[in-house]
Amino acid sequence: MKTRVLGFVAAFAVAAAVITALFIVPADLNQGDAQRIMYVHVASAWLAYLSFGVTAIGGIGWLWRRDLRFDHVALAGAEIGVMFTAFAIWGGMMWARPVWGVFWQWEDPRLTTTALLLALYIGYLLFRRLTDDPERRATRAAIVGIIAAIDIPIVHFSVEWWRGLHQTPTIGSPDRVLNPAAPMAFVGTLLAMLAAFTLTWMYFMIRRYQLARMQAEREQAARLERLEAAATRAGGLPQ
Amino acid sequence: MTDLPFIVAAYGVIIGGLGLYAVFLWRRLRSQ
Repeated sequence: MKTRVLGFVAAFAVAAAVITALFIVPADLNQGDAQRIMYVHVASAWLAYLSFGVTAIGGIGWLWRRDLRFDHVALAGAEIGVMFTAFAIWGGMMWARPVWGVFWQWEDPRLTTTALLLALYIGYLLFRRLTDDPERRATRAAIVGIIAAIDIPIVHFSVEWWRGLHQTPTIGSPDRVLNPAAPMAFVGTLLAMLAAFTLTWMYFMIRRYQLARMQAEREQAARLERLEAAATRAGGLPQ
Repeated sequence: MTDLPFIVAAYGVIIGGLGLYAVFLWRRLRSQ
């Protein structure tokens, strides 16, 4: 029930933030209306980082405590992170074409490392399908999830470390939030979109975790059924 | 509004994608 309320609040918040971003906040003086794409692009990128961070923490949790609930959290983070990474890339491409003149440029470190991030976590999801054994799967996935997370800081700091088309962060540090290189109306709308997307992310994470637990229970029940059937064929379960 | 096709494409795919994922999750949960 509480999760359902969260879902409705998140949907309302996204609708309000989108209306503000598209119709209320003024257009950028230099980039025009194309800059409005920034709100969903940055919010998607933030949640991609958060999701994959959660996947890495879930992996560490599994390796440390051997509790499959950590693996379910890791799976939820990876699946939802892949979606938000794809959104960040798509939004970035739609913003880049009118502003940079191109949809994509492989020479740009931010773009290339983000594409790598997407490929790594699609690989993570495919890798999980290689075995049916939940514990072996969790261990392998944890290792892949932790190694893949190395790309998160590389993506984030790529704009500081190397030169490319992509701009450096406008509000990337606490002092820049208080004194940003953008009008407060833009910053406020971005923060509203970040909050709305984060609420949506929380709702998705809870639901995807619940789904992972249900799937694990069904897998376990099916495994027990197979074992019982095999034992019956072999002359009954040992007493 | 300038650059309208790009704005519609960006918001349409991202917000539409969020909605589709919500439906996808809801249906998978119900089928369990």
